[in-house]
Amino acid sequence: MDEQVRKAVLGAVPSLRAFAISLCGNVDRADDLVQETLLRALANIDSFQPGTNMSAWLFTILRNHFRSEYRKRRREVEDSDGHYAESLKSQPGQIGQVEFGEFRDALAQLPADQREALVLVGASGFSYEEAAHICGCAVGTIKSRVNRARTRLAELMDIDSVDEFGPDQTTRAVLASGE
Amino acid sequence: MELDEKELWRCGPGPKTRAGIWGEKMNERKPLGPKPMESAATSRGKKADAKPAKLSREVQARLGQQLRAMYDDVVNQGVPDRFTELLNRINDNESKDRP
Repeated sequence: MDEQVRKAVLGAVPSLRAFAISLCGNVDRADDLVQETLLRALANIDSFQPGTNMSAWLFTILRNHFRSEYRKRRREVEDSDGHYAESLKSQPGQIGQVEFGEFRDALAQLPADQREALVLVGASGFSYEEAAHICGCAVGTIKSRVNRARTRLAELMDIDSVDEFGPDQTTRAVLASGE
Repeated sequence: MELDEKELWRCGPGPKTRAGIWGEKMNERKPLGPKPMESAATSRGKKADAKPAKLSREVQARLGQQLRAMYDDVVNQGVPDRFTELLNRINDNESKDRP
């Protein structure tokens, strides 16, 4: 394996995992999904065009593999074993525990299309165009899914204004100061 | 960085979205016109007659912050050993296969 390829692949693993967990809702399954993605990718490394975005290429493979294999099993038991929650126990201090749990639950309730669009654009840092490419749809479709996703999230969390975000004065103060 | 509200809405969709749409830079956000609201119409019980959901900038920023916090929490776990080992194994096999 080319050292550059190896580095690029390993470098993409952390965000592939984060994306996979958001799709599967379960860390163990997500890690299996990432592993299968890497095996597929490396078996087809010749189809990767050097100079293009390795990360986006891997995300595409992962997403397609998830669609074809994993989604059948659905998110039925979602997080019955608590693995997801466990993986997130070291959640950042600036967000309250309760609020964080609420957010996680709300995200899990989004339709899969909306969730993946939201995560790709809002967390993985892909452009709308890249996200559209990864999901095999039009840019406008991604935009609309992202819009619907965040509207739905706010509904699920019953938020109309930032004041309803719980008693986290510090964060609000930071937001208010425009930090 | 605080963006002027008007400035924020005036900006049309641009090609630069790297920072994410929910962060401090939301110049990607379309001015809010009519938009698909089927979820609000169908699934909302408690506040069905509330004003159409136009999420404020603060709410969007806050949701985005939470999303990234959750995501980054996993990213910050780095590369678990199983993946490094997997790539090593593939490498070894490749060397063996070579004449």
